[in-house]
Amino acid sequence: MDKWENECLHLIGNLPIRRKRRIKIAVLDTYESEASDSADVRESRFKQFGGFVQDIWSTSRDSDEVSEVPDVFGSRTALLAMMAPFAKMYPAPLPKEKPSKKHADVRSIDVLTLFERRSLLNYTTGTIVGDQQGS
Amino acid sequence: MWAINKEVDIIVINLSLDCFRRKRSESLLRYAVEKNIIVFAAVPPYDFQQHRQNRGLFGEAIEIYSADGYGRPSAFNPPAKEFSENFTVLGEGIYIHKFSKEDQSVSGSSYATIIAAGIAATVLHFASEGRESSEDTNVERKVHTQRGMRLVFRYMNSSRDGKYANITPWKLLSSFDGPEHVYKRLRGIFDDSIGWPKAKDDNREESEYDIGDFSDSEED
Repeated sequence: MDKWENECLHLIGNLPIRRKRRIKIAVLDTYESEASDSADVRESRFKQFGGFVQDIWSTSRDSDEVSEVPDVFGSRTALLAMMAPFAKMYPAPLPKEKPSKKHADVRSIDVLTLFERRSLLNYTTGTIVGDQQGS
Repeated sequence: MWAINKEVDIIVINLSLDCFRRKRSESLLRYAVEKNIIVFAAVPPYDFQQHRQNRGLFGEAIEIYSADGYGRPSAFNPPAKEFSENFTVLGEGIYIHKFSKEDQSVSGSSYATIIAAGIAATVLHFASEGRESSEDTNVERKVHTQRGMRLVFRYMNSSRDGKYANITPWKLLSSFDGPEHVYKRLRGIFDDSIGWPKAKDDNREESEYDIGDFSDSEED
């Protein structure tokens, strides 16, 4: 247990948030490449998508299942949903051609309340732990 | 431009130079900051050449470095900039798990940047809530600028390291205090800072709000 786990998790879980004003966040992210991808492969993926692509598209890239519960979050977006449960996040415009059918067609994620956030986290969770591992 | 047109409050950029059109992005970022959109950019892992190039590219953005759970800068960070805040946020050992998959620990400045954006969103939220209860728009307008958010981040700095400023949100936010208390702290941050217009000037109508007064030029 370190400071982040003790302090931040407690903090985020107990912030007295009232839903009055919506914060809009745009995440501009590249297609989530495999770690082993070369720079050329990453670049070609970017060109293929023709601009900003949010990593929402990549979430289930290695899954053959299309779940009833949309697996829409990339790992970073999931983390942001946890950090800012009241925020409305906008994925970038859809590319002309969908990458594949296993990518969810969701244009916006609307995480309204802490309760909803927790239910979402049952499926896709970003947990802020911050252990002491080296890099 | 898409994000700017959406009138978002925060933009998070997790792109590296090779997939980002440089000239256009520079002007767009400047435009976003002028529109009082808070822009965060992940500092790419240590790659001296790329870091030098990205430096100009993301000059308008609040750049985020990675730190471990104790606030120590990550080893994969590029060298800290001189005369800059070099904000670090937790970016190591973050556990992510998805459908039917084992927990996966991820690290990187892109994750740190996401957490920084979440912190900023929370700050904006509290500034907004305080405003609605006090009919005072000063704090919200100030915190909703690139410069204002930098000041708030400085306040949340818990590092004694001269090179990096480690952000710990619990220095400002508290689960025990209501939005009014956070709002007061935010007000104190801006009252103590140099170069902001005096209180009576802050009571201008929103339409008269001059972004030039709050430009970020002093920071970098």
